[in-house]
Amino acid sequence: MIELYLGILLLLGLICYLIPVRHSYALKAFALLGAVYIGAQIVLNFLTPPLSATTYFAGGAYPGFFALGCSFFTAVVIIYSLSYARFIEELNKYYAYIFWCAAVSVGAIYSCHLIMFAVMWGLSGVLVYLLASLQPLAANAAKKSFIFIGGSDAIIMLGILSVIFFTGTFTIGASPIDLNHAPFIMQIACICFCIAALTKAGAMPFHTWIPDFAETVPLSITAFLPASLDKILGIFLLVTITTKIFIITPLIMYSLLTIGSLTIIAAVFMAMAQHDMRRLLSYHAVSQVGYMVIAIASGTPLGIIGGVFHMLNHTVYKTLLFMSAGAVEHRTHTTHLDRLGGLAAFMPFTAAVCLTGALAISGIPPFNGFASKWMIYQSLITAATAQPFTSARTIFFLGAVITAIFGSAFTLASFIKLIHAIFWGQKTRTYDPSVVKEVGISMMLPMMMLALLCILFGLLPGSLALGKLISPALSSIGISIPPVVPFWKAGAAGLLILAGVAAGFLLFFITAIKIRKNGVFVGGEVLPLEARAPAIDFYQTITDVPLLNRIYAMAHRKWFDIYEWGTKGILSFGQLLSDVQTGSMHTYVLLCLLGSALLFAALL
Amino acid sequence: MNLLPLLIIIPLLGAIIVLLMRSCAKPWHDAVTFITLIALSVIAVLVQTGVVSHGMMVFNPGSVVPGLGTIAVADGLTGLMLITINTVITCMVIFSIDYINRFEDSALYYFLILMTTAGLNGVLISGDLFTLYVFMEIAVISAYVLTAFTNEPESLEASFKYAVIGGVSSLLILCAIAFIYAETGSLSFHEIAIAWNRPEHFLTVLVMVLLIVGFGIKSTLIPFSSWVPDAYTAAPAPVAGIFSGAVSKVVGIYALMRLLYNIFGFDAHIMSVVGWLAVASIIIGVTLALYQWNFKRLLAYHSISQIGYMILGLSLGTPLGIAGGLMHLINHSVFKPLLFLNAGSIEHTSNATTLKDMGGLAQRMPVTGATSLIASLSISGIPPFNGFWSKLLIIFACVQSGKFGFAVIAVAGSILTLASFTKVQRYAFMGPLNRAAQSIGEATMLMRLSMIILTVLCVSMGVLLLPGVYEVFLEPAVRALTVGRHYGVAIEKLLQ
Repeated sequence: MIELYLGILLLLGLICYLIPVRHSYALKAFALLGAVYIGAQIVLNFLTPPLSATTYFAGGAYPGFFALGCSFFTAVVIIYSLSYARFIEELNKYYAYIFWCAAVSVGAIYSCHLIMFAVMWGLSGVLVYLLASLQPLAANAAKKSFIFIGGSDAIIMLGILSVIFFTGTFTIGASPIDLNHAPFIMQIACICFCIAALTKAGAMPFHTWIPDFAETVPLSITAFLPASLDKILGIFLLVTITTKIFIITPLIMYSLLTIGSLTIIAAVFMAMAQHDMRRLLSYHAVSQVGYMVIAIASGTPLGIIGGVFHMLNHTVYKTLLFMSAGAVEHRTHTTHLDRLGGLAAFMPFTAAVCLTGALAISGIPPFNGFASKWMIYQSLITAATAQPFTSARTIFFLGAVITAIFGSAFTLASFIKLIHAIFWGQKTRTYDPSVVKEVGISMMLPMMMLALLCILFGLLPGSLALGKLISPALSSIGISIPPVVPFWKAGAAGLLILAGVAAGFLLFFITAIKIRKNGVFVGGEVLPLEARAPAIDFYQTITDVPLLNRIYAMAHRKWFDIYEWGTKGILSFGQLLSDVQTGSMHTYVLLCLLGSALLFAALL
Repeated sequence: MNLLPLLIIIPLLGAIIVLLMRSCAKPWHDAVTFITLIALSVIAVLVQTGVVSHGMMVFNPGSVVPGLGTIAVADGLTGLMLITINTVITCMVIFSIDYINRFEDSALYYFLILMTTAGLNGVLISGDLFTLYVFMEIAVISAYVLTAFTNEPESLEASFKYAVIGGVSSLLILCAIAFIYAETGSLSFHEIAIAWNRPEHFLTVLVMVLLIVGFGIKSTLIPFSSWVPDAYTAAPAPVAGIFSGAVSKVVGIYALMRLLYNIFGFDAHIMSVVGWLAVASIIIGVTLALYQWNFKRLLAYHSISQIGYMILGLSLGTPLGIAGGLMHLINHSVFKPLLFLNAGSIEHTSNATTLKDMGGLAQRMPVTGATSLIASLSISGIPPFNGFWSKLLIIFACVQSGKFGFAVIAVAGSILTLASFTKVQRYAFMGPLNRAAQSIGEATMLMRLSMIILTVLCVSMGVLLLPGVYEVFLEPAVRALTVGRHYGVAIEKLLQ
């Protein structure tokens, strides 16, 4: 069953690969057919999760849920790409890679054999590279991403092999290794696993590939990989590590909590200072990972459920946001915030869905982001107050909660900037209404679906997302919602909020007739640029705050990018070594003699 | 009929025929060389099947002086190496057919290649130090000349350096042989293996240092590998492929491991020192590679680094480590020559040698681009290509033997290799098309053919680990090394 699904996805990709680029309609029609097939499979798997088990793949509700997510976003992105991806020259490769990427991601999730998992996981990294390098201008981003992801794949191999050696079995999660009693090497193995999960999901300090990736790679691919599939894979692995493979020590838990908190706050500050919507969104893709990491690291059932719920919500609204950014770029051919503005009048649908996504990511009720953040806060506070206030556990948990709440506020702040700069505010140039208009149905449809999910998951968190998807999945690995279900009851509050919003609209439409609009009167002068109130300048002040300005300057010089540090370190080491390679034969013979002497000393 | 002498007679005959036909047109030279190498590959496969079904093969032409006899022996390891190098050299010759149009003397080129092949086959089947030494010299002296084949100042200089350093290495090996002969009174492997019993510690160390340094220079281990970048860069691309895919493997790793395992017996202390040399090679080689912009020079440094992986695996002494090291050896003989061919193909069509002069070439050279991508992924250890499986075995063997530090270094080397090859892909094949490359086309049909053959091997070599295949190729080779000094007893039995 699982193998059949994987096989068909691989076959779909292969057929796409073989269709010549010039038959672009045939290609798109075929890709759409593939999306329909995936959709049918989603419905089928939703009704009856595959339960078959072989040596390599095992079904079940837990992997089934994550695989469902991968399939869903693949279908959504394929539909979105039908008109978005027109500028990609090698369209056959594009669709082929998307199908293959879905296949290997689903394969990695269903793997119950560690080596099979490593192969599938590694292949998903290769496909990130291949998809990114379809755009020649993104060659640098593709390189950097692949060094991060491929590097973390090499690191996870060390972890996987150590676990195989220690447990003597290839099966994933045969019995969790209790790190409190296992040899020290197992802790290193656990760290190796965590590095791979965090790199894939994009948590600090392994996040720096994401902004570069989002900046140059076509947005449909960004929506597909860093925003959805890689998040699902990364969080899936993190949950698997902490629940099925290892029982983590407090030290690792505190490290993960610190990493998560830092990721939330640092990335959101970086996001506020961005002038490009691609980069701004990408820093949020990093920041949100922090919420999932702290929730899952807390280790409480409620926390893990909240973290997985947040992952689901995040993939929905972040894919939506990247897609609406893609819609804006599709029509205006720019992603710079200072060259946009006032687009709500031209693209009302895009503006509405983008606003939905923005409110959801900022954790505004009744959207889905709030529901999961609420669960995360609750789980952390419950866990923290279970022990005396002076214990390390309480300090770390409360610290994480506080950062998370502040992070949420800053997220809202930066999204007000984004929405204002793109859709509201004054126009920065005159748009040609025949060019800048609403996007076509094939782009609207996926965005609408995702926006609806944002609202539905927010209004009915208990019965829909948690009840139908997450609870069955996680209870199959022994994590069930505590009897006192503390999640937010959206009913009454949601209705009140909606009533408030409706009242606002009502007021607007009633009073709108009475508003008289005038242009700014400047006596015939050309309106100077300073007379505008661009959102960017407003947020610019944050980079002038003492201390923060230093940190921003350091970030600008890439002080926090381990990639830069690695490159510099390796190159100076290489410089040092190549000074020995003088080309003169005396040095060569001398080196040989030196080597012999050392060898002699070592052996004697 | 015994097949073993044919492995030497056929290439020597082919070499002489090519030289005699010097005045004929080039296609004749191509044909003779190609047929010779195909015949050799077939014989190599026959030897392997013979070894797998009937056990070790021995050919004893008899000796005049006792203890100085010439013996040819083939076991599982020999068969595996024979198949590998003869196949690789065949692919290199297919590529050369069009590539060497730039040189005038194709007969001499093929003569030297066939002489190298004869030398390498001779080393592989030799059952005594004398034969080993003579054939090693035949192989490397041909290699010196091949390095200088382009006749440019740099290649002459590189060839000179290679010859001097290679000469030093041969001298050290000869010294070691002299000591061994003085101690045991014999040069045949089986007699030494039986007679080498607990000599003085100092003598053992001396012989070991001489052998490790001597073969270390030939197998391009750090710090004995300074000549490598110069020689591999200066040699024509397919020749560099032969150097890295066949010569360094046979006269370096094979010879050293044969001696250390089967003649002197596995010694944990010596092997752990060799392991340290290997990890130093892994890290230093790849760091130097990251610093390079010349494509072939970069590949040369990666050879040093990859040789480190093989020797690391082999130095562990566990069956898994040996299997990993040998599998990496075979894999490296596939992807590294392929990368050299990619470099040669770019050089052939656009004359560019440094990465900075390339860019976007995959648009103009799709086959070269795709094959180089797969080779790059293979060498970086990305699943499911062949390099992944052998690195997997090596790292697991390190963990298994309790050498976690070595495993960490192997992983770090793997990440840096990936970084280096993403750089190659970024600057050579991806990105916007270089202006100078607007008008270039794809390499010729035969060049593409040889690259595609090697790529198919890169993709499919993981099957070597499948049950059923493993028993035919890797398992006999691993057993050949793990039997240790029983090797001598086994030959003794066969000779009686």
